[in-house]
Amino acid sequence: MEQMRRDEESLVRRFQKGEEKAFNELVSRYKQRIFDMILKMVRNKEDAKDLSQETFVKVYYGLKNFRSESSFFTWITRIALNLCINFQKREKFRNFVSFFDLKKPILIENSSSPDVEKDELMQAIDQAVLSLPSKQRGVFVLRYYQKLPYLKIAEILGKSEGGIKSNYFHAVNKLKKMLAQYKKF
Amino acid sequence: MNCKKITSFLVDYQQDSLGPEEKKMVEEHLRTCDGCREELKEIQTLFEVLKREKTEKVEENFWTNFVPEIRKRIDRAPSPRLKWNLIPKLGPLLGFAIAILVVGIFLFSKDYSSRVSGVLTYEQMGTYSLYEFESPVDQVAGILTLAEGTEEINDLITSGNGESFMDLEKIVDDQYWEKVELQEILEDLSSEELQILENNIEKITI
Repeated sequence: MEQMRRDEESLVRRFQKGEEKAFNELVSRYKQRIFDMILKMVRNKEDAKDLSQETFVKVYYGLKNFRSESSFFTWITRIALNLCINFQKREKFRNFVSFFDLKKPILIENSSSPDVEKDELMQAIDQAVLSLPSKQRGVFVLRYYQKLPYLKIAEILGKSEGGIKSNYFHAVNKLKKMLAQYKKF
Repeated sequence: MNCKKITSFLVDYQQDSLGPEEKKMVEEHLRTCDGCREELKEIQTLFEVLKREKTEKVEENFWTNFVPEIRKRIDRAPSPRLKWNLIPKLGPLLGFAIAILVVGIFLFSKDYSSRVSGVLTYEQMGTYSLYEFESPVDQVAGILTLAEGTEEINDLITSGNGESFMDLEKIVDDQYWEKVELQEILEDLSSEELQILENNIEKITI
């Protein structure tokens, strides 16, 4: 872990000294993880593709002034999360303006059998997670899908560990109620 | 240990991420409490439902083109540099904004210090370094919450022992998150729901 952090710091320093290849290496290391996190946040593959690339564009411009006060992972996750939150605020506004132009919820591609119940379940999970307030959803995604410890999430979101625990607890409670009917599938 | 406290541990218990002492405490409680066992069952059901979630596969060429695509975006995007040629045009406006800001900071700091001094002494702040709020914004938010706090909070301050200050931090923290949550909930309401809420509030008689 410590070695990984040192490698990252070295890549950041090399980029700051003008070595563009170092940036490509950082992208390669984190692209999958950032994409997965964004997909769980926005629940739409095309949006996740766009936002994950946008995250790295922001990282590129911000990296020149990055001071390593937090780890690179903490910093990039925070950028991605903020992009998701801002994106969804814009989406909400757009949906409000044109109510009948809503995006279809994601369906599973290459599904071996056209299992209607499964699709319904996936849509229900999407809707339930999307219905969480944005920061609470961020906590849920980082904890449940990314398996991060509370302390790390607290560092990413700039909140106390207790606050993060409480947010996760509230998120689980809400999802529990919303998805209770799907236990029979 | 009461059910409320145990309930807050149940999610981590289900995910097997509690420490040995907390785990033992939860297990002892579960042996005698039907309500908490039911609660745990519901949490287990939720995670079973979530386990059945499938993740979408992404086309391989998305990953092979990932870095080149970012490079294209970087080349396309205008570099976020300051536009120096705009400064002469914006100069008077900037000057005015800075003047307003300076006056605002002066007024706020005066108000802020008077509010804080009535609640916490310098020694208390130093001893308990009120304290590990992560950012200056959280510190100010926390202190202002204290300044406007309930009797319960004031009691905790005057008792001045370490344990109470731990409670105090928790209360401030809870209040902070409750506020954030309330704000988020309101943001999430549709205009129709807001209207219903407004109507209901109007009906309340005090």
